[in-house]
Amino acid sequence: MKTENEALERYLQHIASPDYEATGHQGRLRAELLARVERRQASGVMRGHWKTPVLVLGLLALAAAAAEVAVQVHKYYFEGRGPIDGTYVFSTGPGESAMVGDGGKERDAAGIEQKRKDLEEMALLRQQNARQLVSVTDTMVNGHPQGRMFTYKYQLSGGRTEITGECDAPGESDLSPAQEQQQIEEARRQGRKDVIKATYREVDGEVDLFLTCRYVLANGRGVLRAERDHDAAPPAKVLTIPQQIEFMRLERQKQGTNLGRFEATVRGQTFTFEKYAYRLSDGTAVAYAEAKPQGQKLDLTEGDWAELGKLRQAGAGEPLAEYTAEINGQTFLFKPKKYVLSGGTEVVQAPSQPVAVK
Amino acid sequence: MALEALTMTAETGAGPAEDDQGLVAAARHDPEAAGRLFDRHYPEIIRYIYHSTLNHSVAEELTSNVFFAAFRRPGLFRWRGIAFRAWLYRIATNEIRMHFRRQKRVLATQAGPVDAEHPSAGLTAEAAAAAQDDYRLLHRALLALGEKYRTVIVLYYLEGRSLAEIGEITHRREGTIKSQLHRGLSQLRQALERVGVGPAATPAITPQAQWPGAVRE
Repeated sequence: MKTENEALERYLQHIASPDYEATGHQGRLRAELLARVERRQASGVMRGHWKTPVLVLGLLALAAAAAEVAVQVHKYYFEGRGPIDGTYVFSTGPGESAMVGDGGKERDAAGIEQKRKDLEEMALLRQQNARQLVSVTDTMVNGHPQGRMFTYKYQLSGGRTEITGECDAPGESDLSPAQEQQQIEEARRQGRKDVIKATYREVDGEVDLFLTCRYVLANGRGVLRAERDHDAAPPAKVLTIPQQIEFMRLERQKQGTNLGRFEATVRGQTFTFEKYAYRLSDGTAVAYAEAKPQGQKLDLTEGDWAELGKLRQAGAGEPLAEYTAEINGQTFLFKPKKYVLSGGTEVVQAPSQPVAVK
Repeated sequence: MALEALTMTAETGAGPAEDDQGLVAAARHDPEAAGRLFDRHYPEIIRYIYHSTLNHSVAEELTSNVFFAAFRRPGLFRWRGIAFRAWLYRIATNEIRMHFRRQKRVLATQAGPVDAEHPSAGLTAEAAAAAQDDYRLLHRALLALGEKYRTVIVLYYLEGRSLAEIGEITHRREGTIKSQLHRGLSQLRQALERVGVGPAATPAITPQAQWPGAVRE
């Protein structure tokens, strides 16, 4: 036995084990990992696309971080009021990359604190999957899916209930980051990807240039990703959330200095930017520009959403063929209607309800 | 005798451990340090997982899980007590274990998904194909072993970890590791004989004889 094991040991010591062949995974993982580390290290900082959530009333987790939020959030912090409609902005804490906007009624200090606590309780219920999916809405803009909106009902302590629209599908909290990345790769392969816009951002002279890409996963969830050129690292200097709120206010009030137009290429696509410079109250210099891809609209502006709401209320939509989908073990019946906005943008919106089991 | 002799040839694992302490401390406030820490350990972790699963996409997915877990906010900062590298291997070992548990039903009917298109580096195409086949058979035999035996054999013989380091990774004493290696080898020998390879069954395929260039230092 001993001799046989010795022979086997020699065999094992000398066997030619196959090498893992690099496929670019190391670079991709490194970039993703460092981006996460940076987000967490930059206290109170949120990268990227925070305008969209603030524009939407009610609870709206940032799509890019929805799964992460679902498994990690325990604390919420009140960050201030948004510059557009006074939305109350809460973040998931220093270093986390999600925030929610709470519009609607005016809140005093006690009301803000209650809302903050409710968000924490809802995060916990979300982790436990203790929420009821009450409706799902599909939206397409000029034929481009926008990512499903899932409406959940939460039973809070004290008998209160909260109904919110969120981007994350049921069971998403079970997804690991790698699994989510796999789904994104799958969406990319199947062409369920749109480049929404290109952003130029300069903080104290440090430039960040990236595309905002929307992926629609197999379960209908929309995921926003910032994509830089392959050799571009995320910037070290970023705005804190209060700085972003101040910046948005300045931008909305058109207090920037026009620095002119320029062209830049991001991931092979060339965009024409019109850059404006801003100076924050703490002296931080910000230059900012956004550019949309040429052609038809791929998403809706704040004004478009408002117009769509009015058309919906007026019952102006053209009914299209109904369809069903199985979501979280329930069958949902979608009733789509087509709306044409004043600028010619075609929107198909399909709200749904679960079909009652006989 | 055999195990003692191998102990002498195994790596001590003392290499970058001291530097890791400093890098981990720096990584808390310096992404550059986090990047260096990642660069230092990525190759050995993905290699370990690949040798254990013999599947590129699975190796990449599990390696991502390892580093996401290690660099998660409470993760990196919670690390203490054992060498950082051993800690990464511990997470990787757990990921591999969970992977095989998820794949249990598949493994009951086949030897598990393996890559055929990634031959061993540094060999001629023909030799690489033969080496690939040989390793695949070894891998199949390894899959027949109990989890703990497979883990220590892969770590010790294929990854060159020391007994002390495997003890850290698996949270077992060195004596236990030696015992598991001994029993694991006996089981592996039988498993190899069942699939028709190994030193006892087919001495002609002894790697030194067929692929001298592939002998590991």
